[in-house]
Amino acid sequence: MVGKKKPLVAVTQGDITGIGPEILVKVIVAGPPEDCRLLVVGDAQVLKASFDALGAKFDLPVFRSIGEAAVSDAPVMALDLNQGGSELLALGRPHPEAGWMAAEALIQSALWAKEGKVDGADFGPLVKETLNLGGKKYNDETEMMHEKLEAPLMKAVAKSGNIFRVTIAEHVPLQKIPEFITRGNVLEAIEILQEVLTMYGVKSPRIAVAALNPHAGEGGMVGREEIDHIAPAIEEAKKKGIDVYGPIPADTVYVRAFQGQFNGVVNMYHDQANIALKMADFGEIVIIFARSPVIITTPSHGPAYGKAGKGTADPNNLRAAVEVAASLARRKLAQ
Amino acid sequence: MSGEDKALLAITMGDAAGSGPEIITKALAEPEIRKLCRPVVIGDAATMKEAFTFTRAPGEVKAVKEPAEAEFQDDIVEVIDLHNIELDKLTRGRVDPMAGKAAYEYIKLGTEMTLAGKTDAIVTSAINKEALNKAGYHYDGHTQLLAELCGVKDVAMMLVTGNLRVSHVSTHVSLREAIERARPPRILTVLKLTDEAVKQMGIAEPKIAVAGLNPHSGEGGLFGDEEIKYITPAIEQAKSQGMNVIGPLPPDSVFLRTHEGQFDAAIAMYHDQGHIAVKMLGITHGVNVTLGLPIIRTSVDHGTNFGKAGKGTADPTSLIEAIKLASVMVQNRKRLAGNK
Repeated sequence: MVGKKKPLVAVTQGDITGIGPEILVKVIVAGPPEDCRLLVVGDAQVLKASFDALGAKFDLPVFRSIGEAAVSDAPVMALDLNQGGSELLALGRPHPEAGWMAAEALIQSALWAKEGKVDGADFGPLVKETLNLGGKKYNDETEMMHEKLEAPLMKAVAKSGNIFRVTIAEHVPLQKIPEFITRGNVLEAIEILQEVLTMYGVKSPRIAVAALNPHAGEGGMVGREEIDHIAPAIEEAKKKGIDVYGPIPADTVYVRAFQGQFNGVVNMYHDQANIALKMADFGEIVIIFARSPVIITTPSHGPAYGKAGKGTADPNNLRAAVEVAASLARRKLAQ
Repeated sequence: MSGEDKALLAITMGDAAGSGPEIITKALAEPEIRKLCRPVVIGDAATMKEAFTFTRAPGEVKAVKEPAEAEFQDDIVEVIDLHNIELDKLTRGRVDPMAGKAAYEYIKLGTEMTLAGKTDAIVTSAINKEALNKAGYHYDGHTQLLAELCGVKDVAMMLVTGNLRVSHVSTHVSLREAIERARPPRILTVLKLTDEAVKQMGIAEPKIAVAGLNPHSGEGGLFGDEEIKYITPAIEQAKSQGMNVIGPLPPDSVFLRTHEGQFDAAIAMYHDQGHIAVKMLGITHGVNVTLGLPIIRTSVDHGTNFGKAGKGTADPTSLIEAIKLASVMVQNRKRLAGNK
């Protein structure tokens, strides 16, 4: 534990061939969130090179051991994993070695969080296609964390401004979606949202469940999933004391959430949420990993290879992700 | 624009128990509307008179028998009086089969008049599906009823909010069925209808974007192959017929890009895909247009709003926009016909 000091949040550079290092430097230079200490976990030479590239002065304390970092009062510091890889900085395309570097920094940060040496972690943007560690290729970060942290399978919750959401089946053909709409999956999604909202300190959270079919199936006239699976899951969640509403027609659920009627939304599929979120400015989207033994967040965007090395990348999403991790860490420490 | 040049519009009163009649009194009191069109309400004169007492809008009701009798003075709301509401038996804000039956009769007459050329277009107010069903008319909404009255099958729903125009490949079907309906002949039909309608809305060379069906538009087959098997071939066919069409584009950005002005219209593959986007922009000024009818038909994009019935507070913006759009489409249809 880190005693009465401000929470220590580990943050990684993500895939260094993309914009990860650049946006991290921008967050540091602009002044990171004041109520936490930031620990950059990764290769210190790469970090220094990205400061140089932006014409910023690199004056962070660099540690080799997590023990030294944990007791430091510095607002921002670096922990050098001595990975090498400077030649890959802002390369602008995926590279297996950069994938490994991102994976190692992520898992090391999460393991330290699990050991209580840091209070939370936020990892920079990376891509699934190059994600590898210990000679093994992983399909995604959830699978990798599941294995390396010896933890249950985590579920991604997206926080968009003040609205938290879970999507039951995200990157799946639309045709396959109905197979995922089971009472068990819907109930689990509601419970996950309730957990994360509570963890984030939202008082009396109100959760909406979107319908699958137009007009929420209109009493079975245009689809039965609402009657057969979604409504029973909602009833069960209510019995467990969760304040949950629905199934609500998908074309109004975000209109209502945007008006402040709900704190959380369970979506059935990817575009239900993403169409709505692009049409209105809900705020930065941060991914929080639920059912995780540690606090871990990430920005919602990828490494944006096309923008790498141009100095024009927007750091606000990363900053929001760090703020969410810091906020969750503070609440956890206060308990 | 003066006199005969202005579009002659049949405006149906909708469900008498809802806020439709009140909304009409407000919309027709707008000088802007009177400059654009010559309105005739198809409804019940007594109900319209009472609506004026709720809204205190300027103007009064005059019953006429035929559109040809109407004089279109700014402060007179001329009603083709079907005399089919017994006001003392009507409870506002409740489903009433009498109002459902009456609403059906307004639509039927309005459609017949427009088909016969007595009016240039029909603009419809909100109806209550349950009231319609309880009166013995089993339709899932206006669109199906209008298609039947006009004797056509290939219709499509377009929602218009500001500069966002979205046509739907399917609407009132389950998601499973919607996926089955996204096939080349239907997509091509909706593209053609959209191209034609957008031209009537005043855009000479419409650029139309087509949404994919799957997340990220299937990402090259990774998340579904309907884009490859069905949507792309339909787009290719449309292009070969001279239309300016782009896609399939990722569903989560195509509507925003259309709203930003990159395209003149977007094609949604299923109900919620298009409706989610449009409704996020707000429903107060949305218009619903039925494509594929032999007549021009626009409609309010909201329900009967029973909660506000009798209070005089219902918002007329959607009806105002529907009237404006119908007027524009009538003018352009005349102009385009003249060019041929």
